[in-house]
Amino acid sequence: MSSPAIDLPPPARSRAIDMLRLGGVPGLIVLVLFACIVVGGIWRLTGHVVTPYDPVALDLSSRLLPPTLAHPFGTDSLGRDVLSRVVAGAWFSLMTSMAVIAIAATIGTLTGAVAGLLGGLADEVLMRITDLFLAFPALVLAAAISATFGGGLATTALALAAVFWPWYARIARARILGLKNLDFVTAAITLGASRRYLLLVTLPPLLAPTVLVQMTMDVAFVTLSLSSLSFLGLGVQSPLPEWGGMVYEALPSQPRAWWLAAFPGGAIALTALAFNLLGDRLRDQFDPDHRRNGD
Amino acid sequence: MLAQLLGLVARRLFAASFLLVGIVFLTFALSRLLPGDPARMYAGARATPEAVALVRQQLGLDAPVLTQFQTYVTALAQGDLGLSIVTRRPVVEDVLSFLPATVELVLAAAVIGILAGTALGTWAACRQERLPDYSARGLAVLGLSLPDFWLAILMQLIFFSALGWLPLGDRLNLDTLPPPTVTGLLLPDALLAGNLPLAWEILRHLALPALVLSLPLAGLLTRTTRAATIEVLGKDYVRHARAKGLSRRRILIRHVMRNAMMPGVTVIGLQLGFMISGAVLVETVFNWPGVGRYAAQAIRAVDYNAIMAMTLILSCAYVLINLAVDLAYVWLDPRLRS
Amino acid sequence: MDSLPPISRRRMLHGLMAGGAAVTLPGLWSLARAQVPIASGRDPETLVVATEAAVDNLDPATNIDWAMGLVPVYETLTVLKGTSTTEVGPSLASSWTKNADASRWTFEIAAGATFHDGTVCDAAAVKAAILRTLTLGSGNGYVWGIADGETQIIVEDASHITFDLGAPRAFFDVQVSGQYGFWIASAAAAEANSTGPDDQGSAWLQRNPVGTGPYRLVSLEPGQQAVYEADPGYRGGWKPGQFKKIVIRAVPVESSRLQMLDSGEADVIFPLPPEETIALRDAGRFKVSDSETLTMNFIALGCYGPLADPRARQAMNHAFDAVSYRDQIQLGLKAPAHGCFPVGLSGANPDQGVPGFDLAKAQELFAAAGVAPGTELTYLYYEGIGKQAGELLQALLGSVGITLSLVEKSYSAFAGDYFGDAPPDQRYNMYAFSWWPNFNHPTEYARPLFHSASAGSMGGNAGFYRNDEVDRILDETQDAAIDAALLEKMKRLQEIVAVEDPAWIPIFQDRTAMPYRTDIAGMDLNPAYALTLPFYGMTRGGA
Repeated sequence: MSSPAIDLPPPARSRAIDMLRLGGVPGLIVLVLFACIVVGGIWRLTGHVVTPYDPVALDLSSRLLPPTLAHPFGTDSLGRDVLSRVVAGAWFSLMTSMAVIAIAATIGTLTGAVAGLLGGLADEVLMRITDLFLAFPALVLAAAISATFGGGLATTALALAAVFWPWYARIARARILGLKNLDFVTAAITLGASRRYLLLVTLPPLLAPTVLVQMTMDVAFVTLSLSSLSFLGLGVQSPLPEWGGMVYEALPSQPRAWWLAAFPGGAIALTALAFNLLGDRLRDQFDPDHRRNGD
Repeated sequence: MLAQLLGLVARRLFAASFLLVGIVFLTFALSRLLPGDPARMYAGARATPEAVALVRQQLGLDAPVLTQFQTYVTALAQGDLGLSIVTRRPVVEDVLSFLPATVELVLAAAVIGILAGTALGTWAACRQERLPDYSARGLAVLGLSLPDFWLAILMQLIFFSALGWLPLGDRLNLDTLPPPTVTGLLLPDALLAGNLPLAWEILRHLALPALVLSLPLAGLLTRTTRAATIEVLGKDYVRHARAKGLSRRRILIRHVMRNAMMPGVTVIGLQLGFMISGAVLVETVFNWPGVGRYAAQAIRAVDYNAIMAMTLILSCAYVLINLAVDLAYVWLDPRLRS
Repeated sequence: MDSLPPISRRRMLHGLMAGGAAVTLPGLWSLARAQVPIASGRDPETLVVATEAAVDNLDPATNIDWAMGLVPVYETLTVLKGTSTTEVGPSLASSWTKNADASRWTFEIAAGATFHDGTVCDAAAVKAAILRTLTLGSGNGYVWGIADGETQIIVEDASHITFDLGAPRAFFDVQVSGQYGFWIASAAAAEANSTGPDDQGSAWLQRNPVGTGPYRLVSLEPGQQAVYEADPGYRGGWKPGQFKKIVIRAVPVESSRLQMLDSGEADVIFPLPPEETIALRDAGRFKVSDSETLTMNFIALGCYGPLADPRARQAMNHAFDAVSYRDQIQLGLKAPAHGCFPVGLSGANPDQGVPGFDLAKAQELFAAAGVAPGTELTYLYYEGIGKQAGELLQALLGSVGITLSLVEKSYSAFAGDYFGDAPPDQRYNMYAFSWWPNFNHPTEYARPLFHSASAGSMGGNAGFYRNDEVDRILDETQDAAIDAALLEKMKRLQEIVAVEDPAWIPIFQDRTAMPYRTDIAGMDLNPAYALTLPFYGMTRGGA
């Protein structure tokens, strides 16, 4: 009666609690940020305003107000509520970053895995191409690609994906090389697994932890890069709120209207911080290459 | 060992040359795709169409693309990087005048980052799970998370506007003359000339931009060093050294740090590359006359030659840094030498 | 099951504290600030100007964009007197006469006029300079309106030069005071450094100007700053208080410019956002210039596609709330637009007026012109100039169901579009820009903007505006004297382009708003000399 013969999966509620504990405080912040993405997404896609004010509604009589109860983050030079813009901005800044990473990770991991599996000439060629993109100075490459295609948010996102995918290729390849010689892989091949099967079925679960951890930490990096490009004048076109773009627009009125740069900049910092810390925790938990002694 | 190192260098340079060919091609393609009309930029926005056409011809932009590429490559082989449309002088001159500023900034940032990162990381590892550890890791994460342009503005607000301790930007005060050129970098030149007040002024101008630029490196290095140090501290040979009675300090420096530095070297290499191209934002906010600012201006003004030159130079820098990292590995780890 | 170490609250706390400080510190800072400007120990005989863009092209034959860097080192034959835009006084020419019908003008070159390289500037040198401007293919010589310089410009003797214009041009003396194409540079010096007939020394002269002006260039760091020093031998002489050195610095970040003024490092700065300008003016520690200019800021409307019908363009004018824009965004710093002509331009009708803000009327006219709700229009601007006007228009058009998308480009990309010849289906519907005349004459202003032959790369008519009556008026009045007949015709022209068949939405007429130190005198900014400073007449003396 004491120990069950079968290990039952834990009930759903305690699984959720486990996930929360795994995420910890950074995880909670990330959840808040996700909520902001949802709010921003609803507004962007359906037009329904969930934030206290419409993020693009002008109000010339309330221009450049410092933070007050009515406008906790103040208003900008056209009277728009900064809090609403920061919250809705999560859709543009954070969602875009995640899209960038998704694209980069997919292309990169596939490339790296194929290179690692195939070896030989294919490996050499793919890795040279990867090196080429890696050698290109990131900012110049992203800025050039973005400017070429009009400088909007979509093109900037694609440009950033072009900058980030090589990292995933390298990581995936290194991991595959390490795994290739393991027993169970050899066993799978003996059992008749084709390379395609290996690539699509056997190896992904093994690659997943490393890649996912890297993706989480990269959210911080990509959000910073996206806001940097916006700061240089590329990225989302007005009047849509994007955090980096908001700091860029705030520059002429610094230091007087400090709230215009402080809050969007703070949102970027908070996002980066939360995802970095979350990535730490995930890596501690999942990454077999990484001992707990690490950071 | 020297022969082996030379062999390594030769192999790497050979591989790098393929890389460079690809980069030359890619930059050319990209710069030709950029929107905007450099001929009009050069001639002036309100110039007549005849004037613009003439300028286009003078700049060689009316030739077919392949011809333009050929001209470019030929000139490149002779060290001619073309004429900048924005500054109206040879790009080589521009680069030579702006590069030292960025080099000095990046070097200063690297020094700060490496010193701070290694020190904090080692300290944190030795005081694991206590206050120094947490503060070091907290600072490290912050260094990686705060957007540099935002931080730069913040630093200006605090240290210039509010406190008045440090200058707003630039490398020197308005009326100050630079020291006689020896290395091309202001601070060493001032010290070599024995001009201490000038060196102090240079340092004051260098402080904020270098600090802001160094933060990601310091952050990453703290974490990497900490992790590596902890790992090394648990190793047998360290315990063996302790058992032999060697002082902690000696163990730390001779045995631990050297081994713990290896992953750090990779990090430094990677970050240096990022810092050089990422100095754009810091240089913009602090009005630092370096190549980062020059590159950003070039992209905006569709200055073909400047964009291509900057990309080439940055890529070369990256390749060289990679080479240096590989060599450093060999130097640090005798096991790799055989 | 639980394999994680407990969360360290301290770790999180450190992060949060730092983040919180980063957010609140700027707020505390704003409380702490209350400094009085101090001359920071720099040389009081140096004038430091901090601007947004950098001085670059110093060859007057090719500089058609910004004359700021040319003003210290070059002279024109005549110069506008003080802040008048119609009266000229002597500059490089000490006197001049004209024949009965003003088709032949003779100028006497000032005695003692020398170039900075020591050579004498006599009539022959002036002719050579003008010829160079006329013949340089990439130059702006067309501003002279002289078809054949060799025969039409006659050197009478060492100090007299005659212009045979072939047709009456009563305003020629005012024309040659323009800041674009009329400066006299040493053709000999340029030729000595020429790399070929297409260059004529331009590449060299752009960075090594040789003129007759009161200052000479000491150093030019492209994209950074230009430094000039007073020429002690300048024939105009020097008075105490005048500046011995001028530094024009490019400082792209607004807050840095402001800090430079605040700390005493800069004497004059521009531009600044309206809030900052008002704050400076009200605080009283600095002065802010407030004078007229002949510059108009406008949104050029594309006369093709959805806006081809004049009613649609009238509706556009009704849809833009120019009053709110001027009062609440520009904070009253800019003058209203009374039409498409700047008030102060000869022939401008200050009572012309534009269609007023009336959204109901706009809706009506849009419907009449077939611009249905759901129409999408595009608006092009560069580097933040015109952005807020665009956002305001966007919101207002949105409330009548029209979607306006704003597109920002770099100045060079924008100029390529504005002055380009792309077909209408590839053009934007609106362009935000500004324009000022080279000198004060109504056709000099109107022709490049509103004549159909000036469309695209042929002038400044980005909207491909075409109105037959306007074309006819402009053709009839080419080079006409400013008399009652001309004024009558100009009045009619203004009526057409502002109300009947609108070419633009005029936003405002620019006024200068340059903050400067209270100890600077002589900031008499001439309305026709946009965005430049009268360096020779400026002094520092007492607060």
